[in-house]
Amino acid sequence: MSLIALQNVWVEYPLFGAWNRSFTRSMMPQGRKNAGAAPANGRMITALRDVTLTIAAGERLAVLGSNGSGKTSLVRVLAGLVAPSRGSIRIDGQPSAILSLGCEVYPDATIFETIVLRGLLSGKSRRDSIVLAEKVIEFSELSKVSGQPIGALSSGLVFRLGIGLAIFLGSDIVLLDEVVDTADPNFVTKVKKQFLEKLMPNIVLVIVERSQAIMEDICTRAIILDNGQIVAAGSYREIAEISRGRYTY
Amino acid sequence: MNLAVIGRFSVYAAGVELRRSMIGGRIGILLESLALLLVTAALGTLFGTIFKQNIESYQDYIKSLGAGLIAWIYLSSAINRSCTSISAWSRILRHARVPVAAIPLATLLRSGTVLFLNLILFQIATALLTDSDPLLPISFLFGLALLTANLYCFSFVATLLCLRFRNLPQSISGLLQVGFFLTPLVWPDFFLGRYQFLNEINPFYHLVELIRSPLLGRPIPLLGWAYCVATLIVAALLGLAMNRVSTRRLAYWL
Repeated sequence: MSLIALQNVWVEYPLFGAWNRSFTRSMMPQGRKNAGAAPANGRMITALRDVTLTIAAGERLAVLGSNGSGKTSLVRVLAGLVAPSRGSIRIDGQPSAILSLGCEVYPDATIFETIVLRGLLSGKSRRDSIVLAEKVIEFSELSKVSGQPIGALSSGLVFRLGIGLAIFLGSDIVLLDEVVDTADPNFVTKVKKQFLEKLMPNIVLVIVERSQAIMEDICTRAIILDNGQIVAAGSYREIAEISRGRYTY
Repeated sequence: MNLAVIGRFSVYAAGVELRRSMIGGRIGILLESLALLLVTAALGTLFGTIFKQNIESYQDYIKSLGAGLIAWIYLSSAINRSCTSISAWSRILRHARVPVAAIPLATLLRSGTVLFLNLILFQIATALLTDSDPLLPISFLFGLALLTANLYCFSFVATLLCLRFRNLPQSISGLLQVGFFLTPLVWPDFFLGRYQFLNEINPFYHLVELIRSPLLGRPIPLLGWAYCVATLIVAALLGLAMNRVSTRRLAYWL
C-alpha cells in the first residue's frame, strides 16, 4: 500500500545570484565564502520548517496556503525532486508529479517522444514505452498535437498528459500542483470518473490548487502551510473554513 | 536508477536529437560531415601551401589533417554540447527526475553518430586518393573505446560543474578553442622541435592520437595509452566525487 511519511522535514535553499554562480568569482578568497550550499553571509531561505505529515493510501490531501508558503516545495519534496535539508522522508509507492512547471524530460522532444522517454525512465522497454505513448495519447485526447514539441503545451494539456501518464504508468502517489484549474472541465469529469473513483482507495493524492471547488469535490484532508510550517491540519471542510478569508491564493 | 534505464533513455534521446536535426536541413548531421570535408579541403590547401617546404607529402598532410579534425570534432562536440545544453536541462530537472548521467551519454551517442559518418567519408576519401588499406586496425577500436570513456567522464564532470556555475560553458568553450590551437591538428607535430615535450603534456594531443594514429596506420604510442588511462581514472574519480556532492544539492543549483 502506498504511503508518504515526513518526519521533522526542513528544506533550506541557498539563494543563488551572480555572486555565487560564477566559477571564477567562487575561486577568489571572498567568493569562496559565498559559493557553498550554506553561504557564510546567511543568504538562505527556509521553504519548509519542521514538517511532520503522514498520508496513507486512500487519503486525498489538499495543501492550502498563500503565495510563498511552501506548497510547491512540499510537492517537490514528495515527488523526490528535492532532498530535505534535515529530517526524514519515507515514500512507499511510485510518485507521479504533475506540476505547472511542465512535463518535459528532454529538450525539444515531441509529446509522443516525451511519453516514450517517461516510459523508459520508469523502467519499461522501448516497445512497451511506445505502446504506453499510444494509450496515453488516446486517453488524454492528444492525437492532434502529439507531434508538437512538449515545450509548446499549454498548462491544460500538461495536466491531460500528466494524468494520462499517472494512469498508465500505474502511479500510486499522484501529486497535482496548480494544473487542474487550467484543464477542460469535461476532461476533469472524465478523469474523476475513470481514474479517481476507481483508484482512490489505493492511491495517495496530494492537490495544490487555487480553486477550492475542485478540492472540495475530491479531498478528504487538508493542511494549511504558512511560512513553511503546517499551522492547521484536519478534515477538508474544517480546514477550508479556517482558511477562507485568512489566506489569498 | 539502474544503468540499463539510463542506457535505454540515452539511446532514445540521442535519436530524438538526430531526428530534430533532420527536420530543418533534411540531410541533418550529414551536413556536419560535408562541412568537415570542406574545411579539411580548404585548410589542407591553405596550410599545405604554407608548409610546403616542411612537409614530406601533401597527401599525407591532408590525411593527417582530416583524421585530426575528425577526432577533434568528436572530442569538442561531446564536451561542448553537454555544457551548452545546461540552460534547457536546468529547467527540466526542476520538475522531472532525469538522471544527470544520461545528459552526457545522450550527447556522446549523438556525437558518435557524427563520428561514424565522418569515418565513412574519411575512409572513402583516403581509398580514392591514396593506396591505403580501407580496413582499420584493431587498435582503432580500443583507442576509440578509451577516448569515449574519457569523454564521457569529462562531459559528466563538466555537466555537473556547469549546472552549478553558470559561466563555465563559455570558459570550457574558450579552453577547447585554446586546445585546438595548441594541439598539432593543423600543424604537423614535429614543428615543435625541441619543445616536443609540450605535446607530451597536452591531454588533448594524447586523446586525439587515440584515433588519429590508427587512422593514419600508425601504432598508438605507449605513452599515449598510459596518459589516457591515467586521465580516465582521474576523470572517473572526479565524476564519482562530484556525483556524491551533487546528489543532495542539485535541486538547489537549478
